[in-house]
Amino acid sequence: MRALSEALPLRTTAVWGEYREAKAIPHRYGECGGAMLQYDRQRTQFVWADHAVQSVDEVLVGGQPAGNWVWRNTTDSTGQPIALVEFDQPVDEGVDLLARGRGKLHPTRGTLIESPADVLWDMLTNIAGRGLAESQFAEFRAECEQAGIIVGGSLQDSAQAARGAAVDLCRSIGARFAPDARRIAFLWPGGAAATASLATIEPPHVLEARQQHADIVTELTVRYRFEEGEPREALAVEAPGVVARYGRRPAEHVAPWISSARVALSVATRLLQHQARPVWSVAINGIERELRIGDKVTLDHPVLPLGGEHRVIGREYDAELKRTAVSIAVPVGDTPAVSLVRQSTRLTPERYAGVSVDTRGTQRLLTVYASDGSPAAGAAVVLDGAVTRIADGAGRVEFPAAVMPVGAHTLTIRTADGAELVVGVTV
Amino acid sequence: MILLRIAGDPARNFVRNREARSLAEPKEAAHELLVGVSPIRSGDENANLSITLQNAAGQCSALFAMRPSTGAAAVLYDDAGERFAGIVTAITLSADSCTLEVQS
Repeated sequence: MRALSEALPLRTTAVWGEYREAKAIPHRYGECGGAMLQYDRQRTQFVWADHAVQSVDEVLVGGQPAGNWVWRNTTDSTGQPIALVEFDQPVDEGVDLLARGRGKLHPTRGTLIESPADVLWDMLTNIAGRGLAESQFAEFRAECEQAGIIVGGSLQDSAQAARGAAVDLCRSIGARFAPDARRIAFLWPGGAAATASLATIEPPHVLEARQQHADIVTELTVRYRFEEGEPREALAVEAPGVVARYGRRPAEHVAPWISSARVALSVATRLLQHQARPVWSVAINGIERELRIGDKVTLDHPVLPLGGEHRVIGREYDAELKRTAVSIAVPVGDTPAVSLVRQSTRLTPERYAGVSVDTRGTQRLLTVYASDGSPAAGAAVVLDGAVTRIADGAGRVEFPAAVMPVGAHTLTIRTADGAELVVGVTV
Repeated sequence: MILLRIAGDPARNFVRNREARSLAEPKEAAHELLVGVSPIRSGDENANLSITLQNAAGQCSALFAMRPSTGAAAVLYDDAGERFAGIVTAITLSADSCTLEVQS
């Protein structure tokens, strides 16, 4: 069995007889998108996933939807199942190729793996070789199902530890991953209470409770639907009743495994309902039994006279003294009303006659096309009559956003064969 | 004489002894729970201090548990007037004491 601290053993393109560069072959789950990997020398075949998938729904070439392709589940040169996209013509060198679709199928049920519990099981058992039974994830699966949470995302970092991948997945949806817990993972904060309280925290347990102003959040932005490490969508929720008392206190939640606005809103609401309230971080010592992360305890202590059942979110067990020290988080006050205040989508490349314009970070990325639709390598692009760039082999040039700010611009394009085109674009 | 006043509804005043109650607004309650005030620390860090209050009988737990005063304005007064003003950034409750951290 492999340690959770070891990297996920993802296959790389080096397993194929010929490859361009050694890159991890991704595992795709749920509804997701990501770059394809060149599979043949002719540049007509590209691999989207290192397993069979439910479907490939859309292919983008240079940021634009393409139609001259088919996909199929097949096996690669090693006999391993892969999802392959094949074009009817070679794709130009250097052009970004991205596919969107529905990923891995459950090995026995044959259904799309999209429950966080099933993704976690596949990740830990089938990829990392942890030997965990699927039944160990049943409660987490039921909890996610009850909350309506499904995920979509990719595993494509061969240097990432299994634990890091599991934590990323759970953190995305507001869950805790704890391999030594009775339930391996559970939604937190919130989530369904499925276990009975195992201990009552009362004197003489030593207890210290701390509440910090910096922990209060009144507006939460969730970034989700990731492709190639970049979020394509975001939404923000606010607790307006809390702003009056604490002022506006924004925070961000990065969710690479959320791929739908419905799930993003649900997770954002649950997280903000917790974070917009004062939360006591409580440390408790000397409990005369073993408690694990996720277990429930009942609070009945004069130092924090709040009562109620709370989940253990950290623990230390002394096997010699048979005593556990735990930490819990206790929110106080009414659950605040939370409302959606903003929803945004990353701009996709705008296509004009002869050129497409995309924004990546602080750069405007332009791809120039010849009249036959192929990238215009070597074309000169003059921005607003002032700044000139020469296109690379894929027809691409970049201008800093500071030089090409939001607004209307004129591009004068001179291709290598002497043709000239003047295009008005707006960014 | 030292008094710590935390704004809010109601405002909370903390003093070391009965004599210091005279520093508080007449209509506001003053709790004789103040045990100590740390030196005011400043320099590279944001100016701050810590206030220690009694909590042996759970008095501060009763005051702060449900409605912690974090984020509220706090002012420290002595005989000469205002000595430090800031906001309560953290509250720690334990079996015998309560610590308030105040930053400018």
